[in-house]
Amino acid sequence: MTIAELQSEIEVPSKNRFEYFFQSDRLGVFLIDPSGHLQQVNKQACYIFGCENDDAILGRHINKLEFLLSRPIVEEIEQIISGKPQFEVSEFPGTNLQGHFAYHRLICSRSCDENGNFLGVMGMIEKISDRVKIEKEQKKRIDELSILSEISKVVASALDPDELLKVILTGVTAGQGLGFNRAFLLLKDDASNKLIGRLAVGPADAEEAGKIWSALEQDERSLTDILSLYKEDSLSEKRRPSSLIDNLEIDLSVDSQFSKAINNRQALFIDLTDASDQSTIDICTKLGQKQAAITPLISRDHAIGLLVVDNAITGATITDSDRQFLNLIADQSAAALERSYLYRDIKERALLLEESNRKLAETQSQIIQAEKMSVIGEITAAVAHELRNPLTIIGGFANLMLESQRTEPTGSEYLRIITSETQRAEAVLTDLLDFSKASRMENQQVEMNTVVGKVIDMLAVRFGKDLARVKLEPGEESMPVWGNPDQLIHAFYQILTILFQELPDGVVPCLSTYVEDNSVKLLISFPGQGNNNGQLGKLLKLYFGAKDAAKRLALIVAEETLRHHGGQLGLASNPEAGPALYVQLPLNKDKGYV
Amino acid sequence: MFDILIVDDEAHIRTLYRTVFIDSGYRVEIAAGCDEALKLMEKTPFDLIILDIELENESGLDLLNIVRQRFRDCAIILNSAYSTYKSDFQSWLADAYIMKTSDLGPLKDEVKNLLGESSVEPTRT
Repeated sequence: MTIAELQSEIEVPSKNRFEYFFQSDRLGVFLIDPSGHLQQVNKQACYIFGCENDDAILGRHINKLEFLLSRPIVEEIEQIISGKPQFEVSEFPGTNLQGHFAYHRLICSRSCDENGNFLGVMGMIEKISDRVKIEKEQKKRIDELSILSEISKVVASALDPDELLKVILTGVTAGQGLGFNRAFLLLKDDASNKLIGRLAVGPADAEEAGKIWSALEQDERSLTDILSLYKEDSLSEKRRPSSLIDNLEIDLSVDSQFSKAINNRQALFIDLTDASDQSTIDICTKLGQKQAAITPLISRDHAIGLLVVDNAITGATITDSDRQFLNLIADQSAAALERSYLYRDIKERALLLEESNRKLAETQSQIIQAEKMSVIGEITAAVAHELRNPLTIIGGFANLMLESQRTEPTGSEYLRIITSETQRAEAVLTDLLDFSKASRMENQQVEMNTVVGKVIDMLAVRFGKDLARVKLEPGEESMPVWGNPDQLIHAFYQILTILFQELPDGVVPCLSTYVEDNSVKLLISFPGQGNNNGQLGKLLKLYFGAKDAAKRLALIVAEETLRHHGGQLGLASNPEAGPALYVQLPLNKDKGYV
Repeated sequence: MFDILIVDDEAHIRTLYRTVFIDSGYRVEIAAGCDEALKLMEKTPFDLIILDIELENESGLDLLNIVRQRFRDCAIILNSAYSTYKSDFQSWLADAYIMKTSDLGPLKDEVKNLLGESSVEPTRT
């Protein structure tokens, strides 16, 4: 029965109350008379006060009980004697007559008889050391979990590896964190099989420690605030004994506690007094350590580095509990570190991809520009050639006439030639202007059947009734291509005009449009020509090498236009269908074709 | 009197050149293509050929190559509306390269030079 349980039975008549409680074998019960002397104690109270039986303690004045009951408690008892009803102390430390230290709980109340006459002070004392110990352990665990949670939270949000390393070491050394004096981070270099000193946090010496820790003591920031603060270089630099790890390299092929921790993936405690290998002694001496805890950072079964902590400034012992907690932090940190390296890799790759895309776009733009220049170059060369010949002839005959002052009939023949060549030069210029005008429009989605329809209308104006010879077989409704509508109409018009001029009488061309292999095609065939196929084939071959300069230039412009649109003008030959011309352009899938 | 052969697929050019060089005192034959030119050369030895490059469906440079092998004493002037063939190494087989122009003076001067009628050195304008 505990005090708490007994309190629920407080209604027990006061006369019998003392006797009732006195029977308890877990509670120490005692009675102090109105003069302040210990009048009665039970067996458990004797045990708590540290005496074998009541003889050693009965009759003592409360002032003589201060070995266990502190002065403030004695004063409280005196106030009850003076009339105060009761008081309670939930937890107080004390050492009994046998020198045993323990935590106790005490309740004292006035005890009166049935008539209300004051009998004395009844006290109930309980030893609660085990419960306090458990509670302290629980509090410590909760604190540790809280620290772990806070460090994990900040570590999880840190994506930059350098920032992350600073957060880890700060969490390990901050007073609100694990509270180690100093922390060092060594990362493994797989290529050289060495541990390389990467980062250190902590005061360089006792003097600096004094300054920093007294400043931090007055700083009421939470661990989260401190971790965030230490992401900044300026603050962490102040606590970095970086000179100690500068150029620090530990060869993992040489036996030492450090290489053992990495190679066996095992957390170790180093005490220089027990160290057996010289390598460990040398490293610890360089770091100024007599004791250190080292924990490997393991990610996906691979040791990526080592976390080294010490209390080199205060000399405080590193406990098993500290080391266990350090291992938890190390596990969290290794995973976060691995993640941050992956993030950095992905970021770098993303940057590379962005750069590649930019270069690709630049190259595409250059190719488009080069293609435009190529088209312009081809056309310019063709125009130059087609104009130079008539100009040579015109100028040549004009000079002849000027030099010799020739007269009829030879002079009129020269004039006829001059007129003819001038018309030819004009035709070249007309074609060039038509193309130039068409070039001004923007590219857009164009329907093949619309282009062919407009060209047929234009041809009808030029050829009138003769156009009845053409047979039309338009394909499905939507056959989109991407391009400049005016340029395409101009090109189709030139191709069909020249063809109609070259075709022998009686030959009926058939114009059909269709989609084939991601291309839109206009096929110009000559069905039902039977034995005439050979002659037609020859005609179509000649078509591509048209003798007439104006026709040749018009064909060059048309072919270049188609090529610029990703298409071509070609000659098809099928044993059954006979020879045919075709115009092919890429199907504009992305812009609406279903 | 020197014999000159004019090879050009343009009828009006042939007419113009024949008129100009007959007036200058040469015997002139004309051909529209390579086959016709070779036939004439086998029949009559020429002192000089004025040769167009872009002939209908064939190249004057091919004819130049044949003439250089078979008729070593014949001078050859390439005469074209294009300047780009100047950089074609095949054209270097010719004695001169004259661009077509309404001023026939340079062509006439070159003919004189190659036939030894002038002290001016041959050129590749």
